[in-house]
Amino acid sequence: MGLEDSVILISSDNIKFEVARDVIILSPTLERMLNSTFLEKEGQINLSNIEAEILSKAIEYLNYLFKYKDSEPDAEIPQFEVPPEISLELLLAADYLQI
Amino acid sequence: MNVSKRVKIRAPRHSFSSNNVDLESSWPILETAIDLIYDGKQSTLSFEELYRLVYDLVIRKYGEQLLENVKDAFTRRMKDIHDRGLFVELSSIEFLRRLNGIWNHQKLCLKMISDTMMYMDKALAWKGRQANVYVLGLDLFRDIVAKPIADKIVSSMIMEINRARKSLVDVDISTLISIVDMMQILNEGNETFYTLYFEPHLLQDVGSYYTQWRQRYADDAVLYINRVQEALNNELAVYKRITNGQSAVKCNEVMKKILISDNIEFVLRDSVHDCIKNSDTENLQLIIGFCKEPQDEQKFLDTLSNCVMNDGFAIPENQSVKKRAQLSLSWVKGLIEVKDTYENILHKANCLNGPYKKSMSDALAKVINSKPNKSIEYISTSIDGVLRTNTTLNKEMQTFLQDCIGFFALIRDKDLFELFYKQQFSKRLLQQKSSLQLEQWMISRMATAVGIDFTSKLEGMFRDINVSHGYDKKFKGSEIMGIDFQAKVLTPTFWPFKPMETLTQDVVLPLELQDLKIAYESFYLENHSGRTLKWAYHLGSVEIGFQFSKTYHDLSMSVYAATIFLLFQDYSSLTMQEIGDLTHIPEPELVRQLLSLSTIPKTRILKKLPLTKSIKLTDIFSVNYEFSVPSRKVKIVTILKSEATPSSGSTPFPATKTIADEIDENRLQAVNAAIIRIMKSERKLTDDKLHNIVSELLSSKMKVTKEFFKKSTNNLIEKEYLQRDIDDSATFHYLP
Repeated sequence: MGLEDSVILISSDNIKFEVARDVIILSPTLERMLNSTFLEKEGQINLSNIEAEILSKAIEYLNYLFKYKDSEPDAEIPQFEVPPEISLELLLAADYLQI
Repeated sequence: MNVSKRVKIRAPRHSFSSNNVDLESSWPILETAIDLIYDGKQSTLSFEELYRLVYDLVIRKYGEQLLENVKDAFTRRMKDIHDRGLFVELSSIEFLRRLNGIWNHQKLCLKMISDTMMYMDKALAWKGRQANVYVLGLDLFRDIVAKPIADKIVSSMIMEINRARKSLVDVDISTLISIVDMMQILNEGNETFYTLYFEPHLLQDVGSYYTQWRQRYADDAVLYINRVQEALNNELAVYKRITNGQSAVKCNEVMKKILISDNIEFVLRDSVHDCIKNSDTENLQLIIGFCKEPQDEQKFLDTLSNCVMNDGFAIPENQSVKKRAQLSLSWVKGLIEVKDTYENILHKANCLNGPYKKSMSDALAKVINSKPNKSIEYISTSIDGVLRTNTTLNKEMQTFLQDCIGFFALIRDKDLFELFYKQQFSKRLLQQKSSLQLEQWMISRMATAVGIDFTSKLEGMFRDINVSHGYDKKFKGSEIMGIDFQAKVLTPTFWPFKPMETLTQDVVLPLELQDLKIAYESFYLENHSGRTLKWAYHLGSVEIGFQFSKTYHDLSMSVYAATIFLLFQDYSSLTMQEIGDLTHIPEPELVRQLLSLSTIPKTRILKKLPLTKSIKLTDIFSVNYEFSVPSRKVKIVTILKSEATPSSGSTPFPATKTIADEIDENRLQAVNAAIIRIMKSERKLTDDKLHNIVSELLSSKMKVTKEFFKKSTNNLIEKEYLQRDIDDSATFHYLP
């Protein structure tokens, strides 16, 4: 069971990811879903077109975004590494999630 | 160095977006979802599924078609609402509540649907097609639902606002706020439903509402302005609550136009004067606050100035008071009171400044200049009274004089005032009736107020007196003769007396005086060779101690009277003819003097035979030894005019009529001089133009009327300074 302020994302291959709500809502798509009065308001979102491998990378990116979103303009921010072989799939997922 | 390894980018799996998606099979799913959302059953739906479906459709390039479908679906829904009836038959608030319900539901559903379709919005925006499902829905709501019932919405809102004006408690504020919100959200181009349909009607309603409203208070201006203020505040409060302040400014403008500008005459006419009379600063401030529009402010200033003038003209002039001094003083005090009243209240109302101050002094000036001769006499005489009766000035007297000077500054005919003041000033100086220090103070204040131009002659007179005092101290003649002697050497051009040429010089003075006169002349000419001294006997006075049979008296009289009286040291009785022959006093003067000495009961020191009011050359005069009065000091006043004899015109202080003559003469000189100066450089000018320039030039001193101007030009033509053009009689040429 997820915590009060965490959300469960389920990949197409049925793997569950528990992620902090504050991180999730950085994706406008997920934010609307969570804040809607639809099924997703319960805190569980099925992402049946994204595989676990891609989803985990996307979550990693959201965490990365969350971590650095409030940093100073001149602060040093490390590059976000994307394995080239999944780059295209990740791009599609990012478009879907509007991140 | 490293061997580069070729990376293979994996192609997205099929599962990411389903291949076999088309609009035909997907639309029913979405349509059902829309229905469920409208039914409030969205919690059974997966946002993600709908989102993914829209995503797939957009990816498969069904986006634009999908938008059309959504539009159709919305249109059907809106039409449905419209067709089901919108309760236009209900009362205003019931109708608005129903509408508000529909609106809120629509807004909510549209938002949810729009959210699930946001991928479409984004994708179509990329293609340059602005689309937003939510906005699309609102537009349809506006066109299909709201617009057909716009009249009902507007009239219901206005009805409710009318109720809110009476009491904000009795209206359903939250519904009204929500409807206002709706009207502001529904936009059309740059305008909103609110600005397009509602506000114009609202303004119209405010107009008609307050046009009626004002009738209620049409008979009490002070009550009216207070009610207006309340109404303005109340109206503001209504908008603050209901429209979040929108339209407040515009409505206030409409109200101010109707309630204030349109009624300003009534308000000003009936309230300003009362406010001032009752020192009602609060209401006056209110009125001034209302009169912020330039034309309203001007009307207020006009009213203010009318009030000042009315009060000024209403100052009582109690003609039953015999003494001019008293009459003058009461009038001037009245005028000061008017001035103070207005100044005080304007000061309290925080607007004793620029335009207010100016229209006040303009109005006072009008009061003063409406009857210049009278005002000038009053002001000058009041100053005379104060200076004669005070040796030092307390604060109150200083203020009084300062006020007088203030009025003086407002006088248009300053030359007339100067003349009047000079007459009284000379009298005070020669008779030593006032403190020189105070006179000096007064002159310097007047100079500050209107410039030294007006006071230069006064200062000259002042100087003469001071210099004469110096001579009196040096002149030993009086000690030698045993007579207390004071002489005033006056510069003729400064003093308001008749020309030197008319002074009678060959009067045979009593021996004592004759000796003194010769001694003083030689003393003076020692100091100032080349000057001419002429004696103005008619200005002098003599004091003689005399023992009558019963009592001893100090007699004070004119030089002429003394000359006559002292003859009786050598003669026991004389006829008028003989007196004239002995003294060489011109006949009219002699008549006056003899009448003064022998006919006024209280000061009759000469006997006259026969004892009649008229006088003949053969009448016989002798000392009246029986004369006796309680006081030791007796002042023999020279009568100004006798009915029996025409005025000789030699009175030192001529009546107003001669002042007018003198003024005319002075003015003619001034205007002539101005015309010559102008024409010298211009050579040729038309009648009107010359008149204008002259008026302008002399405006600080006097008003050059057309008649006066004509008099002057005629005078100058006569003297051959000017010539009229032969062809154009309205043009003047300068004759060098």
